[in-house]
Amino acid sequence: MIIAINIFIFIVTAYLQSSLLGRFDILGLVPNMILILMVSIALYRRTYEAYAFAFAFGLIIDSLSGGPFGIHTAIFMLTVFAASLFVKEDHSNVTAPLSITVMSVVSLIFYVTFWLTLSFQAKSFALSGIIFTLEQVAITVGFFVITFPLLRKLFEWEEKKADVRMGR
Amino acid sequence: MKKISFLIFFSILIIIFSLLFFKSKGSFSSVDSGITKVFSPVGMVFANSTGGVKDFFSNLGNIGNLQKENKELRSQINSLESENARMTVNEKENEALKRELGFKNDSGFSTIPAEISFFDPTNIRDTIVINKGSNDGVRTNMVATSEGFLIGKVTDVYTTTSKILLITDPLSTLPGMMTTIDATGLVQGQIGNGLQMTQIPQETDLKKGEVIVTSGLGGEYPKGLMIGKVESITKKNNSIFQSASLRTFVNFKALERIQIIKN
Repeated sequence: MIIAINIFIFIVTAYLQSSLLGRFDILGLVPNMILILMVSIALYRRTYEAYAFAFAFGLIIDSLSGGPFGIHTAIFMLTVFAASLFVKEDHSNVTAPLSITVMSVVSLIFYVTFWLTLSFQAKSFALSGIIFTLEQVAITVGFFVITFPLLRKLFEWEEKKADVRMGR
Repeated sequence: MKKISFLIFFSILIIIFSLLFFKSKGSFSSVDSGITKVFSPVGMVFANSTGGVKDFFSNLGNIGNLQKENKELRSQINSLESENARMTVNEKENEALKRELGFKNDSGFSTIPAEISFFDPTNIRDTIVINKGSNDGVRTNMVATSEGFLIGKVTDVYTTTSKILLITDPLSTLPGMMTTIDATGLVQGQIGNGLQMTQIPQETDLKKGEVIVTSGLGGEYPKGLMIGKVESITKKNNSIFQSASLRTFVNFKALERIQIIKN
């Protein structure tokens, strides 16, 4: 049931990201809601669940995106790995400042990887590209700050439900 | 006393009947119009002032009906407004379709109309997924346009969908040329939705607003498809080429329908 809810949330997010948010940009910038959800799962759910989501939904995003097939899967799994480096096994140290730090690091890894890959392929390292990359990082982190309390509540509710079901 | 009352009553009756008789014969018409002319302004003032009071009292009595009427009128306004909005959207769509039809007829291209299903979720790459695939005759490397303007080319084809690399994608490069000057260059996409034209010979007298079209070199894109216009020019003295920043004619974020050129 809980996995079904997460799958539903992810599909809705992926759909919104690639259809609705694609049209409604903020000064040409679009927050990466999929990355926000991925980091939230890595922070507030179990690491193995986050890896499973990263693999499955990375493939979905790869099929919708123009990048080389597998790049999203790889970057999402790298994201979970990076997040797991910051978080204790029992997630007891997950606080708001740590969450924002993890999101900043992860989105920087995500967008800089893309920028480097594309720049090497296009043989062009324009300054405008770097600025755009940093702006994308900023807007994604900004949206994370707004949405993560809600996502945290959702994942805590899911955890409680799971505990009740398991009789813990 | 009774006699006097009877006489007054009888006299009034006679006067009324005589007035009615003469009025029916038209004898009072000039007198009537004169009186009307003199008294009409005063009558209007009275009518207006008393009308308000009369309306106030009649409104008090009809407040329930008025509320009902108001509700009905509001719902009518709402439905008319929504109809108006629908008609505006239809009008816009109609104009866009007319432009597309015009391009189709003028250019002589055979096209496949398609709608956009998805935009690239990362916002770093500029690709779209459309709702037409190999079943509809879409093939790799076919050129995509919107209202007659070049937007990109097909890179991946599946049975019912296809992926299009937009000209603003950093990995998109195509040969372009100016419309008023005899010069060519390479049009490249930039990270962040930009478009730049490079390798323009230094001696070219490039001006802001110059329209850039496809040159047809290499055979990937047909010649003469509109790409964009020059927004700013970068010229360095020690370089053999100059470059220009281009503004596209199409808002890529607002794309809805596109045309795939078959031939």
